[in-house]
Amino acid sequence: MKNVLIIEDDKLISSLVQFKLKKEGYNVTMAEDGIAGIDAINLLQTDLIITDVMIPFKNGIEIIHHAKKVSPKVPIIVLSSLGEEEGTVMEAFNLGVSDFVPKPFNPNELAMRVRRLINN
Amino acid sequence: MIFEAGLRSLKKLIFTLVFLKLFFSGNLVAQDDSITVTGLQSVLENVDEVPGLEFIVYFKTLNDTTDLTLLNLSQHADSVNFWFSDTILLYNQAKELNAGLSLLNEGSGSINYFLFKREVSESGVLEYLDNLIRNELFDPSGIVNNSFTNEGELVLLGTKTAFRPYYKLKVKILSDIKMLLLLACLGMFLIASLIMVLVMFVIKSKKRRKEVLTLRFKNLCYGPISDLLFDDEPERLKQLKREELVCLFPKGHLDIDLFKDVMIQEIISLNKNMKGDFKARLKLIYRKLELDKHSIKKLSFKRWDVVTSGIVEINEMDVIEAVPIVGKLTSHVNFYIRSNAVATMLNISEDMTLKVLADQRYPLSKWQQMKYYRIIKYLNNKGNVQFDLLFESKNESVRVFGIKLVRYLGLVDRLSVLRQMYRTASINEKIEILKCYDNFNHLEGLDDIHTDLSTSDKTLFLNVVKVLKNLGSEVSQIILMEWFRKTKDFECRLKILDAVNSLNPELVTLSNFSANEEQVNQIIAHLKDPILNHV
Amino acid sequence: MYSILFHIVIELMGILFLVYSFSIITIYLIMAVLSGLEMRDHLRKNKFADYLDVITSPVSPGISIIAPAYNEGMNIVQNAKSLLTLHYSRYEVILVNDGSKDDSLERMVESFDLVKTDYAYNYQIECKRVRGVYKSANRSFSKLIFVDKENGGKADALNAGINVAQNEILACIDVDCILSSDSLTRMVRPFMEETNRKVIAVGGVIGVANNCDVKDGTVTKYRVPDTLLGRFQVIEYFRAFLMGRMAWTRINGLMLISGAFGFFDRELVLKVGGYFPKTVGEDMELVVRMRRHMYEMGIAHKVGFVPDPLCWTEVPETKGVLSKQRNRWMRGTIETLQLHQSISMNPKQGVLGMVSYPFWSIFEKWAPILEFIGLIYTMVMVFTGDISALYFIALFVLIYCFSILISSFSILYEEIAYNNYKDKTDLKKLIKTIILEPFLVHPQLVWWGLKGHWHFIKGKGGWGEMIRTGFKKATDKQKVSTVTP
Repeated sequence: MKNVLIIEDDKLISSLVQFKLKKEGYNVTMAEDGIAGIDAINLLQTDLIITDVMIPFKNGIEIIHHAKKVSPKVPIIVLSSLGEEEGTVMEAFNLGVSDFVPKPFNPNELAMRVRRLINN
Repeated sequence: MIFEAGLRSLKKLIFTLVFLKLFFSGNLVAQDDSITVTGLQSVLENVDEVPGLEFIVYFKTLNDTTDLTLLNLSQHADSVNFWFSDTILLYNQAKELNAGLSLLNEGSGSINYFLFKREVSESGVLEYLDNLIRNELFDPSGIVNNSFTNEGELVLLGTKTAFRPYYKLKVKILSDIKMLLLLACLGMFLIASLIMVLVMFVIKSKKRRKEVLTLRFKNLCYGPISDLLFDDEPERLKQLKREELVCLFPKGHLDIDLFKDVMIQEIISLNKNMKGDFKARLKLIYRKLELDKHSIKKLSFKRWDVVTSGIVEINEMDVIEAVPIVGKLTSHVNFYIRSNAVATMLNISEDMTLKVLADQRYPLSKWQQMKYYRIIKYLNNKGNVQFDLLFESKNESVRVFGIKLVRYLGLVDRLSVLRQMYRTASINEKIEILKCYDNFNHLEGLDDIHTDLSTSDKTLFLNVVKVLKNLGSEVSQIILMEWFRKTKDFECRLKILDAVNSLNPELVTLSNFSANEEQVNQIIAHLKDPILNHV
Repeated sequence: MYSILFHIVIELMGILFLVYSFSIITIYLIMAVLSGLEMRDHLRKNKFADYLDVITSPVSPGISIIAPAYNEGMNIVQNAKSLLTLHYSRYEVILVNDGSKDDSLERMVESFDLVKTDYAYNYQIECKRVRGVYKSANRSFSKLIFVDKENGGKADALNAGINVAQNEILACIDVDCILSSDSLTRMVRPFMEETNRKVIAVGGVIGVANNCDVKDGTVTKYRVPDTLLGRFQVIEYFRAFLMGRMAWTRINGLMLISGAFGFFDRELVLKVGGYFPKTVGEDMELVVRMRRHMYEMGIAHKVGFVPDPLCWTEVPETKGVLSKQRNRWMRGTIETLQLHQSISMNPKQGVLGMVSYPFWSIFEKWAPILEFIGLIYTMVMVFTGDISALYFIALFVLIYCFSILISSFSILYEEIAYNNYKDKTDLKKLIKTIILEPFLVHPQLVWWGLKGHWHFIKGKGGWGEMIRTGFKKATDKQKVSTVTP
């Protein structure tokens, strides 16, 4: 079973995504803030990370940076209410995130992207 | 920042002062001792000489013949039956004499008081004694002992001596008006602070309880909502009845107002973050659970924040039935109710004429403009919004907002309307119209604009110059140079030269600036600086 | 033995003190209620605010941040950088180098590619000579303007910045303040909500940053300072901002916006002639002057206040620096009140003249003096032995309880509103401070206030130097260092 880590402060969204992905057969871990997110990246063997770029205690960019350092091959999806043209999102792309899903989003579509990235 | 220091000092000051006040009153109470009129005789019986106080016994005889010279009394010069004694220093002596006289049965006698040789009444004596006692010139402490040693009752003596000082202090405290005030003030303070502490704790615990409950309720709704949203058979939700839906949630919870509020909050937050048919499903859940009724009910509350949250919910969930009720709130006194009601009306009423907005009587704040702009932008993408009512509104701020919309939304076809408005427009409208011209590089009625250079409003002037910089003609250059000579304001001069420079750089270099050479050079250097031009 | 005259004097003072203490207690209780109401309304309002929208909306007003710096070479680059990353679309940062004797200028030029421009400087408000206006050659720092001028004090430096500012709203801040990234969006809200009454200025809360963790310009972990003086100021700041200013806002009588974090309407500031450089209380003086102008013009107006925690600063924890600061505050108050004597009890000046001004003169300006007199009286009484011991003890306990009560209120307010000091041990430390402070800190404050009066009479000027150590950079758990002891 593949492991997915969701770093998102809105618990409703993360639990919804978790619900959907569990249904699809993934093992899902949730982290509500940046510090928990970094810990999870360090401790868990993840196959994919979904993260927001605006979360408490840590800048999303830092998390991406950290994740890329720890395990450069794990794909990262940025889920954010910021527009694609915003500086932070551009920066995230420069760090090598695999995909960007703007909010509002369609959970089915997100699940599809997850599947595609993990299968590749 | 000085306030902080002051606050601190203030408070400490109270302490000192309150303290001092009581301290003084305390002193008075401790020194003071009261004597009642009825008790005067007994006090006088028990003391020795009181400085300045003397007694004379008067005696009125029944017969003219009675002779009292034997008793050392003197006869009055004018009246044969009026006799009086010498001055007596001790009250007891006077009393004895008076008693002796009354035994004669030849008339009536009385003891009269003299203070420094002048006759006074009993109350006068009393006042005098009070004064003496207060100033510690006279010590009545002997009284108590004397009067009771005469009695010889030991038990009675013991009880009475212990009781008396306490009794006096209490009476004193209650009879001193200042003291009463002070006590009232302290009492008020204590009661008020107790109430406040209590209220605070109640608020805090209530808040805390609410937080805990909210969190619990949130966790409770994740499951059912996810279930419903990701149901593999999308049609099933439509067929479900309310009762069946309610069963998905913990029993009885959907009757709790807070649970409903939490549910609505979560649904709205999901609605904002979701796309596609999920939005429709969320709305369906909202309606099937009859949460819309809960939202509508909120509109009739007294608390403005409850009403406002009802309006916001109606807006987010498109509860069209509520339009008539919300419509009534669009001119509410409360800013939040009013502005959200208008936003909701714009959003869900499907009225493309923006009449709600045009009819606003209150000045439109920028906060409202920000919200309405977002909604109107959305409406404009969807269909044909009519802006004309905004330009015709009686409310200046609405008209200004209308003109801003032309610029923000790129409504180039409205520029002709603006041109018609320009001549009669207010300064604020003119400024916005000019910004539109500048923005779209389109100008009609250059002459009107040239006339406006004579305005006394600096902002308007600068905006005119800015438009001319972009769209001015050769005539404009000359007019601008004239104004450059006329005006003394540095900023205006700078902008004028900037405009002329961009219209016709040669004119600036060729012009013969006689006065203020230094300033002109500065401005020209400023205009030519590559980095400043960059920005 | 008391003479009659002495007796009368004591009687009169007794009445005076009674009235005074009665009014203070009443005022404090009213203030507590008013601030509670205002806080409740603010928290309710916050539920309906979408601050994200403010960042990008074309309707939002432009902001010019003005930060004067004097010998801040150690932190200036770091502070400028954090000012440039605030979440707001239309703003500029104007740093004014007030003739620093250190290498502030060189550091800035080097870090930001600054170039001296031929800026045609306009002295619309008088200020000391501007040596140069610098801008960055690098487009990504286009928001930054660096003004280098001759030394003239804080107010003068602010004026120099105002002359350059282009946007509708001026944000005057201390360069060493830590601003939360959403501070601008929240602070412009009162301006944006203006309908009937013109919003002329908006003040914000200042938090104590000593000993806290700072990350990306926000305090991530709150911790109370280590020293008693530091802790005392935490409580004092709660009291001043959450109780005092909130209450004044409620009745629209706010007279002071902290110089470390204040927002103003630019046009109006220019109209009244900017800051007054000859006073050490320039922040208070400006607000009073602006309000006075509005009252004289007969325009309905408002001074707003945003109680969200958005700005933090290091407070001095050494006696030397703190005493200079308090001395300066006291002088600033006296000078401002002196300058605007004519508004006192003037019905045309509305709440400002009828409530705020008298309050400040009686309960702020004269407080240390009255307290000192009170102290001397008590001493005399004690030494002449005329005092009833019972009263002495009872009153002492009462006074003490009142002090604790007011301080506890402010902590409770903080708890209800934000609950930042979550740690139980922190709370315990604060409570301990409340208990000790009346004995250990308060007498010193009175003394410093008296000194302020004395220095005002002697006509001393200039602001006390604040010694600070640099911000540590780039570490994950960045800690704002405390003032060197």
